[in-house]
Amino acid sequence: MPVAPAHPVAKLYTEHHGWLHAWLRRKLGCSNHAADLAQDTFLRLLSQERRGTPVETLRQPRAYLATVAHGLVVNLWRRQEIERAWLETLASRPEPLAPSPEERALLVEALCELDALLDRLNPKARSAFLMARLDGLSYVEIAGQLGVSERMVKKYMAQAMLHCLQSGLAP
Amino acid sequence: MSPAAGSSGNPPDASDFEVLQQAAEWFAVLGAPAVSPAQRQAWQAWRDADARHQAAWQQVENICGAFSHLPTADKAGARCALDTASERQLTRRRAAKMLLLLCGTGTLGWAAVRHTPWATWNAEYKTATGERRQVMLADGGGIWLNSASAIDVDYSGSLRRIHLHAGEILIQTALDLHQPPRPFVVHTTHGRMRALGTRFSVLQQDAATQVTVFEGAVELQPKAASAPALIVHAGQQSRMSRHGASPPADADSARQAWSQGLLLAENIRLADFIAELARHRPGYLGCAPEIGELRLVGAYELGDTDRVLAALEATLPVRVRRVLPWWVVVEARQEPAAR
Repeated sequence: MPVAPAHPVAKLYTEHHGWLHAWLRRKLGCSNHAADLAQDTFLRLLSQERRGTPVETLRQPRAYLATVAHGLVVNLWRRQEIERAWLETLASRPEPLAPSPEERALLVEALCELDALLDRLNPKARSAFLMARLDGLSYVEIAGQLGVSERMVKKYMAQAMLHCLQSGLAP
Repeated sequence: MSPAAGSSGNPPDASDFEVLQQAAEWFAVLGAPAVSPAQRQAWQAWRDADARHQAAWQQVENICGAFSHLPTADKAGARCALDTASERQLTRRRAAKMLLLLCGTGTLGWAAVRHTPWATWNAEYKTATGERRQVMLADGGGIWLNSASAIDVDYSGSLRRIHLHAGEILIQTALDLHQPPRPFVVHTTHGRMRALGTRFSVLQQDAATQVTVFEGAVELQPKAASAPALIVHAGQQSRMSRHGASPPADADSARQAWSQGLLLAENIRLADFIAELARHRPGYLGCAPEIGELRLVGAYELGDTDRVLAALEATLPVRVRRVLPWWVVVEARQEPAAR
């Protein structure tokens, strides 16, 4: 057939999409989420291709797709966990706030971003950073709460910012 | 002037890291309550000195923005939600790490660790001389540690990384279904190996790291930045120094037998065999040069090296001389063979 050579990602898609969707459905127990994540997996491949990692060189495409997809599943779970934590927080508040679904989605999105930025940062530096950025506390106040010197707080702040800068750079 | 500055999306290099570090320092300085005009001027001078400094500072501001864009009423709640979610994750990760430890080391393993000279090291898994051990990884893969070996297992958000500090390991990577998208890499003094779905062994020696691939393939990247990467396929082996990797040669298939507690000799020189055996015995085990070229065939149990030495005496014209309990030399038998 006079067909232009298929894009490598398109080839992967036709060969493996069905299998990947089934695999994700088993993992998630939900066909809609599975379809979304299968789609996202191939999108991620496309963007990697654009960044210069050719997919033709994949030796074990299934293993690779499963790895990428699993990462997305973990992100989804993490997202659900953060959303749950946020809802619990709302529920425990004295004055009931009822944000609209859009507001809620945006906020959860923002929280996931912050959570990813701060992932694996040392807990003290994380606390110091959040106290400064979200609670608006001064270095002296943070030092008092954490039981460390003000110099240490400054160190934590630099450490936390460097961590964020680096996670911000990661793909 | 600085071509690196404009190329967004490229991986950051070492000097970029320094710039990020400086930006983070300045962020911490400017967050303090009393910032002097002199400090402020110094910061401005730093920022304006280089396009990369400006770009890094822009990122600092973006990150601050990500926090300050939250609606004020929600900030306390956001803080609370982030803390809860983070604590849960921490608990889960600790449990996973504990599980990894429990799977990898039985009670005997711990007892052995206390007696090894490696005990002061930070390595997570170690073996004493003569000890071999299997470590199961959380993703279903496994690592066998040969005698006198030490590794760190470092699974981060973006990488599954093994540091080989000393000795030899055999790695069986798992089909990576239970991980986020993370490559599997092994670091030694001489460079980095990236597994491409595989079973391979890594032996770190003084001058070089020997990599033998039994299944799949491994990408070798020597330490020196100028050295090209090399892909070693199943059935091949290569020696990698800091400056380069030798062209792949046929793999020595006996190289993985130690994981079953065996030392396989397939027509190898006695001198090489003794050198290998010495790794499994505390103290010194040497081979006299005049018998070094004798050839040897057979499978020997590593669990009892004295028995292996006795077997050598029984089959070859050699004798085992125990100069001191921990100083043993294999040399030519003086008297003519009995039969």
